[in-house]
Amino acid sequence: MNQVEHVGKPQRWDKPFGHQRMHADDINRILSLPIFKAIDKNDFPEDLSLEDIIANDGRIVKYRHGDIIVRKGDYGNSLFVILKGSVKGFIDSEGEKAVFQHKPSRKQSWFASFSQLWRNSKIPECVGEKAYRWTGDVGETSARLTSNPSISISIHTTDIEAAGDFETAGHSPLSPEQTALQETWVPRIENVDEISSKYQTFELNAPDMFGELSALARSPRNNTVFGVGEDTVLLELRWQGLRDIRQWSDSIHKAIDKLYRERGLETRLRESSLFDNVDDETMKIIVEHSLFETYGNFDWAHHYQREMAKDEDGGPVLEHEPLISEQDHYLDGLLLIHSGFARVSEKFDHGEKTIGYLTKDDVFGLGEIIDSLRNNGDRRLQCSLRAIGYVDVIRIPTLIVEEHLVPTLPQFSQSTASSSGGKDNNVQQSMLDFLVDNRFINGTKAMAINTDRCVSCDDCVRACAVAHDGNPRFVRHGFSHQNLMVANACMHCKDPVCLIGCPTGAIHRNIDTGSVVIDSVTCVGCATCANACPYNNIRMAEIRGADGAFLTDAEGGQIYKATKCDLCADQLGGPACQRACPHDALVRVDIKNIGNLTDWLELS
Amino acid sequence: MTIMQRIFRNSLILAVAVVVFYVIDWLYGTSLRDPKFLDGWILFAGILFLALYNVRKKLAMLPLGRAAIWLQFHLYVGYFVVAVFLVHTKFSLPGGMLEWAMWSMFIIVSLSGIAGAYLSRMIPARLEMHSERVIFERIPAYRAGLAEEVEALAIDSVNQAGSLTISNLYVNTLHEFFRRPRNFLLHLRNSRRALTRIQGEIDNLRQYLDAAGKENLSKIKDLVQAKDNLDYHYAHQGVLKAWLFFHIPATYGLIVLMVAHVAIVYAYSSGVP
Repeated sequence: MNQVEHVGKPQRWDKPFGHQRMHADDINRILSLPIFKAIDKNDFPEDLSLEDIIANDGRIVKYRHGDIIVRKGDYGNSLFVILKGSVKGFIDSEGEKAVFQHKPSRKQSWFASFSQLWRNSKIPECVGEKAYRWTGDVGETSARLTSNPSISISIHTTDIEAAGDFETAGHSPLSPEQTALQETWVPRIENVDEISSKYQTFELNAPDMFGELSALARSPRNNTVFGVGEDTVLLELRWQGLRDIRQWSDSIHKAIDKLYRERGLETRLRESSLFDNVDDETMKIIVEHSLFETYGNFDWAHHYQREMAKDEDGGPVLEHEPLISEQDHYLDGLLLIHSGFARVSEKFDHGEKTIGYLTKDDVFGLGEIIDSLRNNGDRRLQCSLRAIGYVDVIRIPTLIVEEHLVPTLPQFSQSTASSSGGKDNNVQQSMLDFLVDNRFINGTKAMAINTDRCVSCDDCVRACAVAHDGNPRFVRHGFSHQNLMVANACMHCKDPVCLIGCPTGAIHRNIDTGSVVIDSVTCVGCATCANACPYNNIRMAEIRGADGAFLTDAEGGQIYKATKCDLCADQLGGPACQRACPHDALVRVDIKNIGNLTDWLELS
Repeated sequence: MTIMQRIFRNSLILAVAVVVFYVIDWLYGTSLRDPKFLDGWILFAGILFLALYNVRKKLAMLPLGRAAIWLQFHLYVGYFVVAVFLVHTKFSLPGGMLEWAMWSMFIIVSLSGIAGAYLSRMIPARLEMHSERVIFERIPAYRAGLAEEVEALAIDSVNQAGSLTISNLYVNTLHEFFRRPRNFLLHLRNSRRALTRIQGEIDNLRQYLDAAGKENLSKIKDLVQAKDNLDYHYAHQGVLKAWLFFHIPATYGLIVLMVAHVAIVYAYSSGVP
């Protein structure tokens, strides 16, 4: 146990995005594309050159006719640039439904689950040094690559030498062993031509790009996109590289942001049920006049952590939140929340009282617009709206809403829609404040413990440990309010800020479930995610080899990995903690349903 | 469904089950058979089923249903088994050594189980009302931290103000109070007697101190309150864990004795139940 083994300390680009670092010829061809041509290479620092970013964070992928490149609803992390050929995407949801395919389940078998009783390591945080040693060996490399479900899905194209103009000249062909290891399940549309003619699609050709919206906003893909023809070649740039290029190059920053906003408006408005009865012509008018606005700080988690670390008497939390619309001010538009969270508040005595919060798809100001139309009243806002952390909103001018949108609303005749946004009158004010002020509204699977029922038996902790090789992935402790404790367990946030900055993409959204998971093999232990998590729900664990010795790099530095709750992704029956609680004192809950949560807390 | 509705439903099912069992056992007896074989095997099966709950807890990785549902079965089947036991023993005390041992084990298991069920409902609500929930295993570390703080304040009062009042209080009272968990039974009774006694002693000393001394004394009073809270949690959470040390080992002992009992019964029976 006391011996120390030396292994190579993982670095950001130990494992490039592709199966190996991109060849210089391919990089030069990519940099000659219009989107990259305008970039001034001198804008980049010496230790982070544009070539290095492309080489390590990009990969060239070939798709066959009908191969699904991105699927609607998946949490994508990449931008795609079409190098050769073309792709198509569905405009309406009917097409999506027609080709919807499930990925095979990755759950363990009954026997594999049962065998955890004796398979689990007696040594804490034991991963074995083999998984962390980077030698470039083909077999080992492939094993590491395929251990990450999100990556293994993406590296399905082993046919690199068939990439036409982007053939990786000079690279040795893949060995049969590597090819076998990289064979993964790829969704594919069998009857592409029939589907394409039957459903409305859009087409993109080289050198168009797509996927920037999801890559930048950490949001699910808006469309299913598939390859057309037998030689569609794409550059896939993971968002870590995209982030760096955006940061250092003004031209690409503007180009991508322009696309991001334009496509965000178009696709986003179509997604909202508010526009269900709006025809295409009217939609064009609305899109033309709409504004895409961003409030708050994209890196809000660090700001929030600083504020929380300050003295408790530092003033109400909402004073630090950027104001989007102010109560009693002129109502200059309807606000549709594109992503993020916003707090709805109203003046109360000498302060402001939270009366609700808005999240994706919620609207603000519609009630006031309808009221003013009905009663010829003044167009003044009844409440204020503030950005909680970071929020994207689409502002549609009041006149456009009155003229084009309101007449299409079926509820217009009887609606008295309010802008209070999800205000549940049964929820106690203090509980609402607790959940909003502490940003717990971000959680989709927060661990709520009813302290009125919890007997501290730790069955939940033991069950978690059994499901994770003997290592519990949460702490049964956290912020409390009344009989609610929100434990230190990953909440699988709507806006997972822990994803920002991960240099390898080890922390990612599960493609099927949307839960946030960490691939421990590709994690380099940089602690960026742990530091970014506003709720301290990610722990850095000192890892050990099979004999119990701590693993260190050649300089003697400790090797860490990020650990957190994965909702028992590979276990049968879902989160073990919830199933193990004998007193119904623990649930994994979407905080958005505050009413359900408070009802559950009352059941004692 | 509220908790009360659930209790009512389950109690109703339990009552019906007990009545049905009693009638069947009586009918079995009227057919000139020995009902002890029937109710004995029902008792045996019931106790094995109750023991399965612990197996379920060990197999947390398998989708065997929520532990909360298992616990409900465990509780109500447990009450049912008590009824069967009373019928099986004919509401009388045992005879031989083995029967006494078995009877004692059953009583320990039953009473500890019922006590555990009661404590599991009562104590969380008490803890909920008594400051922030503390993780049991961390209490010693928190207590050591508080002890260090109070010792530093006592030393500080001597060094800064040259006063021995606080240091004497520390030596005579506080050192022992902070050294280990205190007033276990008083906390279980929800009594504040020990706390108010120490706090009264502290308040009484204020009149002899200067401003700096009073400030230190106020801090010490807060630390005493914090330590008392820790003791409260330690006592209650300790009880929540302790009852299982009676319940589970006694269950294993009971099962071993039951097997022996069945073997002996069949060894000396006529072979006709």
